[in-house]
Amino acid sequence: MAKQKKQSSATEAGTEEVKMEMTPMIDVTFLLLIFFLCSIKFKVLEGKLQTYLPKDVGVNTTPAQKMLEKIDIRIIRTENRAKKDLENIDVYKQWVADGGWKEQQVEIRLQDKPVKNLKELLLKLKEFRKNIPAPPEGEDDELKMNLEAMKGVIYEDVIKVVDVALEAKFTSITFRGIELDA
Amino acid sequence: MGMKSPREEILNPPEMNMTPMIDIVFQLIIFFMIVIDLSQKDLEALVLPISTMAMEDEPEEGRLYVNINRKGEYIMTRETLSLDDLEKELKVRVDLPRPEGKAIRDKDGLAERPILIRADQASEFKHVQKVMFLCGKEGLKIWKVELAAGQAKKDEDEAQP
Repeated sequence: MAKQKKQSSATEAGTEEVKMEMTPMIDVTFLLLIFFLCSIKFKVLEGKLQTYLPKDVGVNTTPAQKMLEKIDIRIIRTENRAKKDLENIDVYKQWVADGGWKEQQVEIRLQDKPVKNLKELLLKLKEFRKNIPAPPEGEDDELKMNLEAMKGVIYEDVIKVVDVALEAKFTSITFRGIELDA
Repeated sequence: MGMKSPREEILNPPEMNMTPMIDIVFQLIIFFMIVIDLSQKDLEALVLPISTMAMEDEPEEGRLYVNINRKGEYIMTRETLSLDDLEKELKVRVDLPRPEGKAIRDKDGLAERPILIRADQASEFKHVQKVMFLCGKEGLKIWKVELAAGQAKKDEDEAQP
């Protein structure tokens, strides 16, 4: 065996080219590939709530018209309320600019009367629906909802209420109370 | 290049040609490097509110994205913009060419291009309203507004009575 090797190296030296060692490069390349495969964040499919702004006027800046059936919901965030109120109203948290979360209460008022929580809101909204059933898809809903988010109300609060409204099959929701100068 | 004798085969064992494999691996690396950047540039890392009524999002080509973070900053393709700059940017982007067969504006001059507002769950709602207000302005007239929300998990729904 040793004899053979000696013989072959002696003959190869003159005829064969020097070959590059490819193994380390392939190793590194595979490591890179594995790194990118692991670190890639595939586009997360998110959900969405489809909304359409009114076609005729863009955003309606005129005072809300008196309608036959109008549901008014107001979301209020209050900071300094008496402790006894805490039992009756859902408490959410709000992120504050200086970091961390700050406990605040969220009060939901339906037709200007406080609602205890989202479950109660759903029940009450469904009661409104009993008299006026939801229209077929694409048709105008007779039951209009005005949703007013007061100062400091965060996106999550609104989505929670919109969720409940959609569950009660309210499709015509108007957002009120925009603060243009704030 | 004649046939190798058995003796020659023992002395010089056949070697695998690595070049095509390395080519493919490099191509893959380049592909991932590009994809990593492109697929995420519209989406900021935000915590979206969970919605039980959210429908599945099927992103339309050329859709506009406005991100709103907790601090109430408006971000478009990684750039933080003021409300005025956002309006200017939207005005430029809303009338960009769309895929063939899709109109930019309908006969009433309303933009056919949808917009997705991605707001952090802890951002104040007034920022979302401000973007909605912008959309309705003259020159923009975007009426297809989509609000991004995380979808509630199916098993969570089933757990609820």
